Amino acid sequence: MSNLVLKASNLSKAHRNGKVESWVLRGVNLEVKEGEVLAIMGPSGCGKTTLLNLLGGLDRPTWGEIWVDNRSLMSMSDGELTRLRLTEIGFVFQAYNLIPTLTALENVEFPLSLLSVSKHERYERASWLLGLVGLTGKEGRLPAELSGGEQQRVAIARALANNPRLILADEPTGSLDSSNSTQIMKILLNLNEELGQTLIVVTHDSSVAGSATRIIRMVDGCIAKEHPESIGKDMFVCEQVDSQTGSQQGVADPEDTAIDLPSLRVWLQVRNQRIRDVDSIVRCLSSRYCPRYDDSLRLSTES
Amino acid sequence: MATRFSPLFESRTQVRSASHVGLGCADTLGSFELSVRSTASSYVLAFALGQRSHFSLPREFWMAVRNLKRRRTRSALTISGIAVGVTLIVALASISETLNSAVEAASSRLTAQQAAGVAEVSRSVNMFLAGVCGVAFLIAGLGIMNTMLISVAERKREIGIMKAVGAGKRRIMQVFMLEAVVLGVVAGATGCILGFGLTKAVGVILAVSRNAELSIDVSFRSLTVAFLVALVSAILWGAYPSWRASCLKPVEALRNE
Repeated sequence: MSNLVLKASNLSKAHRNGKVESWVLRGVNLEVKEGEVLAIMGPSGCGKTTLLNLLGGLDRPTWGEIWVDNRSLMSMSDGELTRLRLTEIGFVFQAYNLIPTLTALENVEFPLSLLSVSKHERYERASWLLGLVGLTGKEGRLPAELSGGEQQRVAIARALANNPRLILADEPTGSLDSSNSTQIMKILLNLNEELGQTLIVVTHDSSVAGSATRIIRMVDGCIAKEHPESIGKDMFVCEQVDSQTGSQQGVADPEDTAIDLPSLRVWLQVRNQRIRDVDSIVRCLSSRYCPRYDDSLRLSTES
Repeated sequence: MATRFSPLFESRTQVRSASHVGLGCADTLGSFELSVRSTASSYVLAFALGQRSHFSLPREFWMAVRNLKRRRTRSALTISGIAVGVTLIVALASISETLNSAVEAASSRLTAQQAAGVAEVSRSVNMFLAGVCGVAFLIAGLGIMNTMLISVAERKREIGIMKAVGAGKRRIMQVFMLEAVVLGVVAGATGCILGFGLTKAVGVILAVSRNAELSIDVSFRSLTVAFLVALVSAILWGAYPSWRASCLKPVEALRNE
């Protein structure tokens, strides 16, 4: 337990748009050990980025708890969350997200200057980090003068600036070509090996996920089966369960579950399953083997 | 001996009591600051005093300059708007000062009734000039606020990045306030130079047209006042946009394309 960097329990997030409430995350449970490389995969719109934002303290969950380093994020003030992001968490985004008016070196120095590191030390560390990602000689360039791959490398260097325990990468290779994305992943994995930082990568590129030590698949706001060997197979867990219990009638009533039917239909489409009838899915949800079983119970009791 | 030393002793006690008064002021200031710490105004105060902030001025300064340069046209328009105001203030203040001193010099040669009439006229002229300065201040301030609000809206993403990386409210506030201050300083300086030129030009034109020996002096005081008006209005009117920027939520700011 001591080497658990991050723990999330029952993490749920709702986006309210007027009167319509849509659940982006539905009771996600997650434990990440120190030094792990965790890949979060799933189709777009399944809540990967929302999950990452919550884990990194950029956003607050509607309910649920997150612990980073055994410290609960829910009890923290905005200022404390900012501090946590500064010292414990490094972000790498899909869109690089460098500050356009600062040079490569200054971008890496930025988080260091927030911690009032001395000028000399800042320069030393930033240039060492830029060297680590292979950008020696390009310190003085503005982001606009760098290629996409180079910008992402600067972003990685910036994420590492304060030596955080946790690196959260949201589709770091999403807007790069294949050769650049292999390089970026290589850099990230090397850093994980050399510096021992825990890495969580959100991606829908299976080759990227292939190099992770653990893969989590998300479907419609909850985590599907977590076995590395069952990638691709977990898609059928529900279907199999459903075919087993298919003969039973009236196992669960749609009224009992707080999950709305439209999102179930979307879920079906996403999973490309042969089940077309929503009733059969509700039955499926009532099965212990389905990853969404717990969620449906939780949603119905808590809401 | 005693009589010789007593004034010195007196002045010493005066100094001491003055320092006591000063300390008292500092205490009340401190508690005042504490009481407003949680409000937006404390950020302005914190910025103005530069207390407890460990931000390297050069880096932030160049960031602000680069930002203003990136939005060249808009910055130039804002700066010229404020500069026109400052120019007006310098010119009108100088003219009014010259007028006042002329009235003062002439009043000894006039009857009491005449002097009163002239004083009345010069007072209303001064009032008019003060009004013009006020309007200039208002327009300059609105210009700064408009520019800063657009800048904040445009740079939402950048604010999101800074927040994600770990920059707190105060820091974001500083970044934007510094930009406003740079705007104010540049515009104030430009306005002072233009105002000096305009005042001298008016003097020359008047001298030529009236065929009289006349020169309008631009006093250091009027230049300082005009410059301070630009700077203070930049700080005051830039505070709200900066505060708005610092209050953005990181996720919302990052979502902005």
